[in-house]
Amino acid sequence: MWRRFLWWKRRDKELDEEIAHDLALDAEERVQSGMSREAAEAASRRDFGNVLLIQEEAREAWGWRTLEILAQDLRYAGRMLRQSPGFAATAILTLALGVGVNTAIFSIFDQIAFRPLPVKDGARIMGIYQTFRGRYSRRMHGNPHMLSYGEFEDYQAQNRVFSEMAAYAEIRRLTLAGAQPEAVSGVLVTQDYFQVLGVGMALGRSFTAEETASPRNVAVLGQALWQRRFASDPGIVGKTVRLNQALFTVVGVAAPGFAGTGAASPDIWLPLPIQPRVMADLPPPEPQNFLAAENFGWLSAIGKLRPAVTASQAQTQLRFLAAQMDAGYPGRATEVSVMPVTFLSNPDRRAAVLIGGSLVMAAVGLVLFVACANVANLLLARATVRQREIAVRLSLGATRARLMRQLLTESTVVALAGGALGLALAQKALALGRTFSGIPNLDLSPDLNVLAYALLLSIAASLMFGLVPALQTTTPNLAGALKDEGSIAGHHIQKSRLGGRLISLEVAICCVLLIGAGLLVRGLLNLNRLDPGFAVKNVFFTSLDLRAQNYDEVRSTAFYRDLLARIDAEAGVHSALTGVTPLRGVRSVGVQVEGQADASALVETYTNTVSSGYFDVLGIRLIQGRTFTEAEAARGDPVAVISDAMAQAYWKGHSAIGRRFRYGAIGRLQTAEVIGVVRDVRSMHLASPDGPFFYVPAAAAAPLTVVTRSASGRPLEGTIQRIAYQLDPAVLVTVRSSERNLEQETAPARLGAGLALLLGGLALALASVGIYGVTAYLVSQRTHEIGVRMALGAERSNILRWILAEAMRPVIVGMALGLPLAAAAALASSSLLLGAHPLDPIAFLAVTLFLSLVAAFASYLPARRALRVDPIAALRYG
Amino acid sequence: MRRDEPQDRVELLQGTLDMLILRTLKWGPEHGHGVGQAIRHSSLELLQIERGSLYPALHRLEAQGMIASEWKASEANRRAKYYRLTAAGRKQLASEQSKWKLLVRTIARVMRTA
Repeated sequence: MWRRFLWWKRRDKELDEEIAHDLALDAEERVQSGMSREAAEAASRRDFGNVLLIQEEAREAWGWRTLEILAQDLRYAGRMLRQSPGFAATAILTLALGVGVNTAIFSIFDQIAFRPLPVKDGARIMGIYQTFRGRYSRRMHGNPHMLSYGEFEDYQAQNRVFSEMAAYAEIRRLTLAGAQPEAVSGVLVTQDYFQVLGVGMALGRSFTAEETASPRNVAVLGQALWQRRFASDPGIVGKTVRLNQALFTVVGVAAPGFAGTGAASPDIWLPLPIQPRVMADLPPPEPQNFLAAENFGWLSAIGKLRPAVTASQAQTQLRFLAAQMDAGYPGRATEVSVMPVTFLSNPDRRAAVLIGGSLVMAAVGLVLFVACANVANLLLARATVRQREIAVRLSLGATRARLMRQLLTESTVVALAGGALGLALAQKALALGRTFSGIPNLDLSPDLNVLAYALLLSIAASLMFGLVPALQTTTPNLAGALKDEGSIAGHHIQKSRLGGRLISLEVAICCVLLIGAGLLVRGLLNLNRLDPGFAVKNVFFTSLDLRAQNYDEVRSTAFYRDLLARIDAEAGVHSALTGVTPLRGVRSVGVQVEGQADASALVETYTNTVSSGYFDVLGIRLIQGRTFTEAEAARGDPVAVISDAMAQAYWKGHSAIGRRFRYGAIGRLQTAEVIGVVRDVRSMHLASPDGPFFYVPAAAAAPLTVVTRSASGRPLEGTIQRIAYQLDPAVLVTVRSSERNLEQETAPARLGAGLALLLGGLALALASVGIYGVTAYLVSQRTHEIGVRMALGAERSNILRWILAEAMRPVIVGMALGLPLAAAAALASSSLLLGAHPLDPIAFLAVTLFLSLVAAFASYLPARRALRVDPIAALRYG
Repeated sequence: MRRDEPQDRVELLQGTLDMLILRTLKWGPEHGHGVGQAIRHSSLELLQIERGSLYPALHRLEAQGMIASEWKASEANRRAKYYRLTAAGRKQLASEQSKWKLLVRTIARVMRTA
């Protein structure tokens, strides 16, 4: 644009020079034929013609006019907006809300799914994901797309598309010893990890080839841990730290600002081969040495593209390499995806986020639509005021295209102002939201994507709300408008009908959003009132990292026994042990029931290992039989307590007590005898009962969690921490209240309901403004008619009723449209409703009532104005 | 010579100025003033063209790609903008010329019968 402008400026100067040249030559000729110089110059100028006109004409030839018209339209638009600040403020604010909420959601989306890592050359860092198809069996630790060490080495050695590759794995259970043991997050990495991510060291060095080839106890600290635990000790390099009972020498501290590749910054990095030493606490089926395990996925892999290589070229080559590897596993087909590493790179979770995100984007899109419909209504109402002005300009010879251009320039100015304000609002909201999200690495500052999105949205909005009013306003109806018969001219009635249609649309959209919110709230209320079947209040779960501290079964048993005894004695409470914490995890095994039809098949069934007191502590009611005795639990006798649902599933109509079933994996089946039946609980999802479930006595070989219920309601976190610390200061103790677990379980639902309420409320507020505006317009249009009716003796209440009926008609049409739409949407997404019935009558009724009331109120306010009409004035001037 | 107004000067027909400019430039590059002079001379001073009106026409033709321009020193050693015919301009001139001939013949035939 600027260059074009400069070009125009240059052409202007050239033309001046050409004209001067012509005048000079011509005058020269005249002088030569005997004229005086002054007379010659004057004659030449006269003969030449009107210089200004010629310049104008020439400029038009280069398209200079387009720019001039634009500047003129912009000036004109600015003047119009200044003249009606009420309209301008309403329109800009409405659009700002619409664009703002869209931009905010898009920002989150963009950050999570599209923005490259905030490191050097982030966009060229690719993640490598494998998806297996065909017949295959594979073990994994992490997610199914992860690589085995062998696979990573093959890709690394044979690819020609990446300049460097690195693999890494997160370690979940890592305890840093000290005066107060602390859980730290660690990442095992290959040698080139820091190289690929372009991260330097603040102190010391990163890992050497030897350290990443064979197990060496060395570590690189993250900035946060270095500052927090070691007070930014400048001499930290060379010192040792104790992790899970092993000593590690610190060789470096990562540069500040490096936040790893995921949602949270790792505290510490360790070389990959060290894996067996820090992951000793895994239950038996997992291999001891992950690096040696074949066909075992546990590594995330990243690579930096060589210059001029694209992601799809890289993918093609890796697919070729994967096909070669598949030769060793008949029937298996590996599909490799290579895509830029983002905040959320796991392809499965990314797909889930994309689906959920699209739903949310659709909802916020509807809000913007409502905002646009509103502004369109405002423009239509304003069109009455401008009808004369437009008609005068049309009859003076302005073309329709020229007027359209001007009106659209006006709406674009409004839209861009609204968009800019919306972007600012979105940034404010996101900055607030970021502090609440608790995700440290979430960077929600606007990038080019977000800016482009906001701009695009604003321009689309300006067309959405500006085009129809512009077309309407410039429809020539000169005679009527000039004679000021606007209010009875046919197309005015039509215009208010168009306004009514927009209101219907807004109301329909409000219906869908509010009913969605209503259903979510209903589901949420259900969850809160719901009895999960086990006690939640005053219950605490304490997890201990005994295996990481090299406790064997004998020592673990003793530790748990001592801990439970001391907690119970000191706090006057009851404690028990459990393998799985309700609402925090699930465990399932195959089950075969003796004497059943299909006795050879294993049916996947949920299970838990618990100590004898578990049912008492959590208040899980016994229906039949008995629970474990302490002796049975201690010996690990082959007995089981089953849930009511399991009893119903296998022994319906008979007593389940004394029956036997087998459980485990084929070849390693254990037998258990049913000694009791307990009530069904909801330990996995609050929305539904667990289904068939059985409990077996806990063995101290597997990690167990202590569950404690305080009778007094006194918080127990401190007491439990202190007692455990007295028993062994090296053990990491984490105490969580069950209420907090419950809160976490319902957090996404609460977030969803909150968002839906917010959007529904926003749409409703916008629609109310729209209804208000259209009714006010209606009243101002009908002043004459109202005057006539009043003069003929109509009661004020009659007039009010008539206006309200007119105003509410589009609202009712909108609801008639919106209710079935909402029902359809609810039925289609019933799985997201937290167990609320998709056609829940209370939600539908409440929303319908609420919407009607708000709409009635929004139209009542301007309708009152009709009552103040003075019949005489209305008849004379209306 | 310019002072004595010839009695039978003719107004330029609408839309023919472009053709005249193209025709003039066929002989070689020329600046704006030169084009005007050439048209006047070859019409034996009978065509009445406002000198200024040449320039919008020249700029229009340039914007359409019929002619191209270049700044050069003129005979009098002044800087002047020289226009020359482009390939598109040459083609345009040929088609305008044949259209013009047809027009002249047709009009002449009609006028003869009158």
